[in-house]
Amino acid sequence: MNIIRSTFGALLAGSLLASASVAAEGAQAGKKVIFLGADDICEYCAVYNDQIRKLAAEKGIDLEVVTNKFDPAQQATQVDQAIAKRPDAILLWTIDGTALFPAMRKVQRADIPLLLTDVQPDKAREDLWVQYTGGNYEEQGSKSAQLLINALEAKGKPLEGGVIMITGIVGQAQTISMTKGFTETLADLAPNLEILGAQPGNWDTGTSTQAAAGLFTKYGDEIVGVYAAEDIMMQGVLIAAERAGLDPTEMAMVGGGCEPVGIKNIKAGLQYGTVLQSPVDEATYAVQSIVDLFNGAEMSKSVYVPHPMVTAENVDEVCQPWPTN
Amino acid sequence: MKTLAENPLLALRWLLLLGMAVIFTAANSYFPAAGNIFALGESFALLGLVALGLALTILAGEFDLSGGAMVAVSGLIMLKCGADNAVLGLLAALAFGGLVGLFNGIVTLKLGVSSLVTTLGVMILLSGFAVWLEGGQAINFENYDLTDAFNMDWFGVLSPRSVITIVLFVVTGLMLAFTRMGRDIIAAGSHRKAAGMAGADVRGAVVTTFVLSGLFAALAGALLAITLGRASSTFGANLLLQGASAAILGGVALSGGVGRPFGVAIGVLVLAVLNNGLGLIGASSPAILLLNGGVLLIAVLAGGAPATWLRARLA
Repeated sequence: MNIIRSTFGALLAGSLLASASVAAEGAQAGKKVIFLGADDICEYCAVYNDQIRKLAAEKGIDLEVVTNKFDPAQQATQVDQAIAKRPDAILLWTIDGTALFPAMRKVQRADIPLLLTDVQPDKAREDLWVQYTGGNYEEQGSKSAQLLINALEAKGKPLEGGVIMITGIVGQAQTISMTKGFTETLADLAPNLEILGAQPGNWDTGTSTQAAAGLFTKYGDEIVGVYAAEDIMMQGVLIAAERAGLDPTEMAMVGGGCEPVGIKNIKAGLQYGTVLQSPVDEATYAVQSIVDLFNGAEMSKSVYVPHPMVTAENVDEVCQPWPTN
Repeated sequence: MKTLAENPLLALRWLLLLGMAVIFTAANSYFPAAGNIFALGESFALLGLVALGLALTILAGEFDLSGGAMVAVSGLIMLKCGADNAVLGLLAALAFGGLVGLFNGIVTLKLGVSSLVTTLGVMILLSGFAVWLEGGQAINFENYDLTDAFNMDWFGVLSPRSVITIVLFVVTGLMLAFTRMGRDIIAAGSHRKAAGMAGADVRGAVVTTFVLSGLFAALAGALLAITLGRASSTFGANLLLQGASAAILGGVALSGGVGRPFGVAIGVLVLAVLNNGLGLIGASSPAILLLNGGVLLIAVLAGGAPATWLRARLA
């Protein structure tokens, strides 16, 4: 079923991109676009940044990449700088889902088209941007809950007991959406699975190790499943489980992103599954969004990258290795 | 040349600032554009308030580590208390900042412990308090009219935030230069025992610097929350180190008693121009970090033997 979903998703995404490309005709060539994104300090961001540079160059887009170290105040200043340069469009990976609304209003007042990527702010303000392309975080959280249930069933365990969560940075839009999707779906599909506790792992392996260690100490044998919103955070959970003397193969371990470390852990049997979010897909969609903007294509407000569920059965088909320089 | 002879380090900082401005203008024609000067002013406003408060405590022979965490907490208080009435939120944030500063000052003096220890503890407490206030939710400010008002530009290059910061630098500079409290603050950081014996209100001066540091950091956090329309426990995390760098760059001696707000403003501007210019020319984050460290090292090292040599030559 997962294979069918992922293949269907990939085919759908491919056909969408192909049809849009036909309409492109190169009006984007030579257009000045400023991309305000995240720093290469995060591996996902580094792959994204490399891909968007490469893909934009292929399309003839004059793309200027400006990154920052996850500081919304700095990014708001970078928006001011970008407006001063009067580009043809701004592509924004908003470091904080809501803190950039005032900056987005400035972009709107400056009459510069704004495209968003990776982080989708509150849709109530979508009048501020032309299009968002990237992940659907609520869907990811929901599919992670489904995977956790599948994992317990695959291990022949009842759908009851305690679950712990390792989340992203508290208050971030994507963290809130993922948590909402996970908790609501889990409550719907397996009401006897109780979320015992949640701690922020801040998208970081070390922080996640400490967070999971505390939860393992507190809840120990009550835990039947762990949801970490990203595979690098699940890596921290696995380290903490080993230190606590717990066998991860006895629990339902679900990560997110289909990142290299997640692929390794899934193949090793330490992690049951993950949900794909590819930086290559996101960069591809973002560049297509720029192409569509300058070619007058009809643009919907939200275009999501595919998020197929991934287990050991389909990991090699769905999760492609991240390109390296 | 007399000015150079009297204060060669200040002249060096001016040269550094002007040199960077010339280089960045040559590298990118947008550097002197009004929109970019406005962006520079926004950076100056945020860092400037934290650096000014921190510099005051250093001037009095102490050190306030809690400024960065205060920015996060005061922003959250601003939006939690000011959802319906922004003035109430601002007053609550400032009151909290002042009270925490008062606590820092009194505990440091009464217990006779290093202010590094006192404010380290308070910094950790504030960080925890910020996470508790946030409660795992995005804390937003829906009053976009006020947000727009604080983001508007005056004469193309100034914002309400940058003007407020400039005014506070001027007022603090005048206070240090022309009031008894100002002289007591400098005396407290220079020769505390001697100053006390000479009748200076050393304790009052020390407590005042902590209160002002708390107030300035709280104001920075509240204004940041208004301009971003958002508050978070993660905001302000880097401001303490940057503020200390700016103070040192601005000629504030860690031993106390030396330094003035004007110099601190130059230090803040050096960092703001450096980061703004490097961002404008598309420098990578590692390069920006390395150059920040490099400039700080150069400024600090220039305060040693080279400064003595320069002073001797220009005298």
